[in-house]
Amino acid sequence: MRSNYRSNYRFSYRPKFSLISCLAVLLSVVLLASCRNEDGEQAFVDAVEIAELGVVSLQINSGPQGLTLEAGTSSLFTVSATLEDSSTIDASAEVQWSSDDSSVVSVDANGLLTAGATDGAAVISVRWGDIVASESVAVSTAALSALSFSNPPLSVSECLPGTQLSVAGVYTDRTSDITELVSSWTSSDSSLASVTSSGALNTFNSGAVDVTASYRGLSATQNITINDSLSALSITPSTDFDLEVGATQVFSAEGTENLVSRDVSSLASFSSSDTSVLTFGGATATATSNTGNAVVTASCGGLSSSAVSVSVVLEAEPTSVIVRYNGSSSDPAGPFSVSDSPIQLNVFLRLSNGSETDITTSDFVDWSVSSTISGTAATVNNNGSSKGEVRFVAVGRTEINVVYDDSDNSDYFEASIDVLVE
Amino acid sequence: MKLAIFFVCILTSVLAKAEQTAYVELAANAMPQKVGEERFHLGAAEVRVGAYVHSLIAIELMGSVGVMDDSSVGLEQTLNNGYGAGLRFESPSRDGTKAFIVLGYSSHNLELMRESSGATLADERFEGFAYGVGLEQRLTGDDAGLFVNIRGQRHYSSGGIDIDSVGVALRYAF
Repeated sequence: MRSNYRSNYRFSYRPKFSLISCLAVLLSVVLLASCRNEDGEQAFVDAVEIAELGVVSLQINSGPQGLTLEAGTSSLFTVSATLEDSSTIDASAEVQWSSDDSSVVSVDANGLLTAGATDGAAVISVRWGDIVASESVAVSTAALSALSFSNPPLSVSECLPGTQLSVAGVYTDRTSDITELVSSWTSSDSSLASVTSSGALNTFNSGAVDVTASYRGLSATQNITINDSLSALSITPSTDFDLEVGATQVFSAEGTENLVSRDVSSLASFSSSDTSVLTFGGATATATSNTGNAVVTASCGGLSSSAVSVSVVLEAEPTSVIVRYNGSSSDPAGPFSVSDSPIQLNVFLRLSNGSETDITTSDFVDWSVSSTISGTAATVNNNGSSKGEVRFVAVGRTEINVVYDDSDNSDYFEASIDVLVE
Repeated sequence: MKLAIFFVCILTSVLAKAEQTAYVELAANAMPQKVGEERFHLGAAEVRVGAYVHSLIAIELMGSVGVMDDSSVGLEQTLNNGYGAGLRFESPSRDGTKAFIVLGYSSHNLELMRESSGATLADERFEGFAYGVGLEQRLTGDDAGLFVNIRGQRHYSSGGIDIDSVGVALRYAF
């Protein structure tokens, strides 16, 4: 009774009030749904992350210029975190950077410090959870008077990537590394060596080369000897192979120096004897739409590798399917005699290049009994890894049918085989 | 706080209307909480009061305190307090059983400390849209009286922080 009373009563009682109340609450909920405590989220996540890693302290690592920056320049600083086991990890991406005087030195979220235009100093701090570290960074307007190479390599091996060069700037008040500030790097002979924009020297062939670094109208030149040090050059794949039209193959090159091998793939020059068949982009060979043969070689350090022949062939197309059992097959269809149940039939996809692939349990394959020719019918499994398993309980002759239907590639083939149980 | 005052005003208005029914619930909640890849399992006691604005819709206020902390990777997590408000939409009762969903707002103050030193690493309040589902069974033979219900709610899910609750409550309806 009470239930009926309540229901009747409520439905007739001030329905407008209920509606207004509900709408007011829902509106409040919608307005509050956007509330996010992003700082709080970060604080919790950071605290858990440093606890998981076992971080005990942070260290700020200055860029190449050190802790005194030339006015108006930028330098990338990094942060190392020391863990409980005394190992260190790069924490540059985890910390929050700040400067106590951004007019002197500003810092972005990646640790890139930018010096202001006047002399001064600022304290740069990093924070990760409750762990902090600080470093004082100075800005100097002292004039730059000269450049010089720092500890330049007097000789380097040929076909060697990434030898880092360093340049020092001589200021009126100090000498510091300005490698990151160098505006241009040049090599006197690009066939012997090149220098990247960050000052990494790549050598190709033996000889002598002058490398020049320039900054603010000043320059320094260093003569570097490139040794004839490689004794052999080889490529991988090292044996002849077929490549379907449109396909790619990545090669690698290895040089031998003092009986030690090293990867020279990034500097070796790969070439094809017939670019209408096979082209190269770096170490990657791409077969064109033309069939034919091309000979691939690599060269570096005045050496050439042995040749590898690549035959560009048409993609093999499926042509038919064939069912096989113990030397019998669906071509011709049989029958073949069996006596012990179960037996396993296998179906193979035949390709235009003459090869066959076992597709017995493929999702594209359906096994079925197409007809009972005589006696008691056998059964064939069409599920999972048991596909193609034939079971029988009495003598008879059964035709087993298999269908391969790959509609994505418009491939449809059928085959049948007679199983005679005796 | 403004929102809480707002809800109190609405609830007071509702209760001021004679013959509206109200209820009070005492709940024990397990509060699984995820921070990044770590999980903490807190416990909380919760009080809820509500009033019907429709035969199947109630407006509800809740307040909770932490009764069980949890530790992981050397950190101790504590629920200091929580509060919230929302609407409870019920299904018709069948053999004394009804299902309900809850839509509303909740706010929870969580504190993260180093277990070894007790130093507080973070003390933050997480608030926003909360939602949940539940099932309720009448214990006495009338609409008024005792009920028991179970309820699961998501209170917060953002920026690597998830705050949920699963609990059982004893309810008395007036």
